Amino acid sequence: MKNPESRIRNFCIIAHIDHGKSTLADRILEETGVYAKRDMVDQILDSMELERERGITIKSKAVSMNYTAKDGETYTLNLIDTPGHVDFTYEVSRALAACEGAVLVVDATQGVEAQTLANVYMAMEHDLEIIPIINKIDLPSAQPEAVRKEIEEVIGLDAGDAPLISAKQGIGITDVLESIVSRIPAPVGEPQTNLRALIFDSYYDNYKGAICFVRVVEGEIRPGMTIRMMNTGATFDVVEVGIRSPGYTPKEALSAGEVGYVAASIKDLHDTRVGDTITDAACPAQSPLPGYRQVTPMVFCGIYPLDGGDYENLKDALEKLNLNDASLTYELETSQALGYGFRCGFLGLLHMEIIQQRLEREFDLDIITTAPSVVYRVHCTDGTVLDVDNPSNLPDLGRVEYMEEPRVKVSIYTPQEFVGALMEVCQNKRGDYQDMVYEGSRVCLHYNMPLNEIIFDFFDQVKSRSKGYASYDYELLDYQQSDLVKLDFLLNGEICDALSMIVHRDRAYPRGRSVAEKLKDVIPRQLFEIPIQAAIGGKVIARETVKAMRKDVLAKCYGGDISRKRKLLEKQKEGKKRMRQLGSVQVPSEAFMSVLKMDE
Amino acid sequence: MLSLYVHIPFCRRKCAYCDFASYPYSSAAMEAYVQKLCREIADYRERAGLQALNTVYIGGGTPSLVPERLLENLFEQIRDAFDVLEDCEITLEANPGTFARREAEGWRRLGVNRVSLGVQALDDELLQRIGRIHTEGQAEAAVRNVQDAGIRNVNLDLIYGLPGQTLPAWEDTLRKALELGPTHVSAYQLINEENTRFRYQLLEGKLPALPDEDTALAMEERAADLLEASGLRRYEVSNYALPGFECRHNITYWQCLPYLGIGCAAHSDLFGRRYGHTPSLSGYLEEEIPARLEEAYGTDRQERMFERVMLGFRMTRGVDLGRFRRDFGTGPEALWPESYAYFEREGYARTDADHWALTDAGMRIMNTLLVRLLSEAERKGGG
Repeated sequence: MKNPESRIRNFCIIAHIDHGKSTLADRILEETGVYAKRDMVDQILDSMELERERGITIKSKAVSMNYTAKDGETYTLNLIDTPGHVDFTYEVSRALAACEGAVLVVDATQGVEAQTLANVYMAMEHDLEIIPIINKIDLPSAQPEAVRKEIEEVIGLDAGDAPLISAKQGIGITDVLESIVSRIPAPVGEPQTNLRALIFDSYYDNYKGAICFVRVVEGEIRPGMTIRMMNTGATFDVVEVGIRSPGYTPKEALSAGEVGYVAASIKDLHDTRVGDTITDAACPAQSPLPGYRQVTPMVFCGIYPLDGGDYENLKDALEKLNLNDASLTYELETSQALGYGFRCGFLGLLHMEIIQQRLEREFDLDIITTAPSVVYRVHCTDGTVLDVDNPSNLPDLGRVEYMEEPRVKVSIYTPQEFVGALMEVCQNKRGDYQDMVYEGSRVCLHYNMPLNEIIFDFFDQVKSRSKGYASYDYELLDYQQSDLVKLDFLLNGEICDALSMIVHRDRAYPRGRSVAEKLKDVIPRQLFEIPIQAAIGGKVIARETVKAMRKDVLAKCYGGDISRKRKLLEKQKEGKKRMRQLGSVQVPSEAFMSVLKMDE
Repeated sequence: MLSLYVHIPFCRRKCAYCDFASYPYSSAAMEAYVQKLCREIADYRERAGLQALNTVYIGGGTPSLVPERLLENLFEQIRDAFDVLEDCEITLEANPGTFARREAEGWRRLGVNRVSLGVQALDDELLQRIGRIHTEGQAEAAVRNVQDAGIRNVNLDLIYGLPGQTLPAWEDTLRKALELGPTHVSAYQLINEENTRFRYQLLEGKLPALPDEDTALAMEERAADLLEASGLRRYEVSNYALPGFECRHNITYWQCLPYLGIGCAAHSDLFGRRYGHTPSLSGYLEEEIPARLEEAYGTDRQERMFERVMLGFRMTRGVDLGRFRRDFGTGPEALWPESYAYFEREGYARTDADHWALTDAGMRIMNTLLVRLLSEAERKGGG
């Protein structure tokens, strides 16, 4: 059955972590009969184990459902899931661009929280109709009226008729559905014109190839049509279109206003870029939809197998992850300290952490991650220009004319009271103040800032200085000449290339000191004394020492329980396995990352 | 020939740092428990036949809380079920503040010829801080009572590395302990065990911090100096004795010779076959017999070879290589060639008079060395 456009509602759900976004999605899918209760695995939209654990959705998906409203009409509701972190800001913005409305979930016991604000503001930028709802009203500590007031005061949304619900108990779900139908506008778009469809997500299916999730904005897409990706220019023949409900349900066509998938035997996910516009190759649209950005990795780090024998397995795992995540890049690199591994590129730090964790959990690999770096542009005296994303590849300083580092434009959204503290953070991070915009009770601070300052604990600092309320996003601005130096670390007199980093000269001393101190704490005492030195071009700027271990023996032997003692030693042995031998020194694998964490 | 361990899991009050099985004392529970011990001993006799006992160790908990009448029953049962050799070492653990001279005389009549006293510290403030029920004065009186009752072989258990303990305070405890004329001293470094009240109190900052590694090491060295100066020689990581007074029962464990453990939480190793009883008191009381010889699990050869070294290294005399070769048909230099050479080269171990023994330097870092052996075995696929 085909719904006329007036009976389509495209929406997403936005919420702070733990405020019940996934549970509400489950209830809505249940209520509309997409899932029978007994089939439900908790929180269907977050299918990856990791996503569930972190409580965030990494990749967006879309589900279509039918709902017969109190007005007697049957509506098609398309729920578009959005990722929720700064690294995926662009993907979120494309998913929002596919919607007309958003359901904002606020926890009746917690009220409006930081992440809620960032997402609401983004939804507002996209002119979405926002329906606030108050969740968890079944909890004894729920304060729905106070939260209602807070939504009005802090966000400036009318929450007078916000549904009071408990997603967990299934209370008020129909109210949510009715609000979606009555308040979110139907999509507008001419079906009888040249096709323009927005790709807001894509993923790789072993049988169908790369599959695009699209919102058809104008025109119609149907099997047999030859389509063109307007930004990349690639063309494909459409094999199948349809909706997810939740399985693949093929349809004759997707037309203006509708949300669904397109399969076109696309071999490479890189051809289905999020934000690109699909058009009919035979009669193409005049221009692509606005907002397309080519996503390029901004943060790089080395990933090495803890055990050199796992190199091939790591390679296979990265290949598999890359199939479904075109924004991940990787290429072979070698380190004197760590042997063979890969230099990987990520959208940001969270993206990097997610990939690390997936390698460890889904592929059961023990890996070492080196300090993240950005791409520096090195102008050599002979006129050549090198892009350097690994400090080890920095040419000899005698050959360097000057260096440039990437700058980003950072927008920080914060309640007013934290402005002072956040400005201080930005100044300390070599930020260049641009302006400050008051928007109701929130402030948006704009700074231009070197990207390498952001990858070093900026997230932690922003969160800690604003009690978690501020959020930020950033986009690449330009490259700027900068006085950069390579900071090396020596363990027991030997340079450990995996720890080297490129930093601004002014930051080298404090950074060198703080990293040396960190290393001293994470490297366990060994049988000999280990000097740790930070050095710039052979000049030592900081020194710490891991004292030699003096005592490691169990005082008592637990009577006759021999196995207990042996188990303690087995445990100690397993701990040792998590270490990497660098020259004569055993270094725990987490040491490479822990040096980046801020001191409390 | 066998060693027998009997566990008495009752205490007046559990010490904050203790993670052994122990339960609040009541005379009714004690009565039922000792009866159960007797039944377990009889059961063992029925299954295994008459065996000779070389050592008996009544440990706890607080065995000095067992009333004389019940202790009589227990010893009667032991003598009934085993051939208790004439020179059998019979140790009873006792806590100061739980007995008088009369009780000690009773122990002697029953054949106890060695008493191990849980003195821990001769420092009232520290004793209170770690939750002991006795005072310095009571500890000193306890030693005299045992000696006056005619038991000359007395061990004093001492602990160092206690919260807020200083090196001079530890020296003071050592000197006072030596004045009491012990034949044997166990000087244990405190272990901050998981699942103890003590660990929680430390985490919460309710106790002063533990001395650091360097202070703990200095304490160990002071103990060795002072004790050896009084003729008590170190023969194990934490144990010192006048010549001829080394604890034969504990040496059984360190040499991996057979022992039978009776009672709640007790473990047995009978010629490579092992079993352990539940640490739960009610569990032990309720079951007919909690675990028996027939239920013992075998241990594999690799494990036994490693354990022979793991425990043998604890003794200054080291691992008996002659016996090792007789039992396993190989030696450590063939089993762990890399580690063996490394220990020798770095001065952590040496081989002489057919013993493989750690040096002082090696003994301090024994765990690190043992882990090396495990890792080498694993690399070779030995397990």
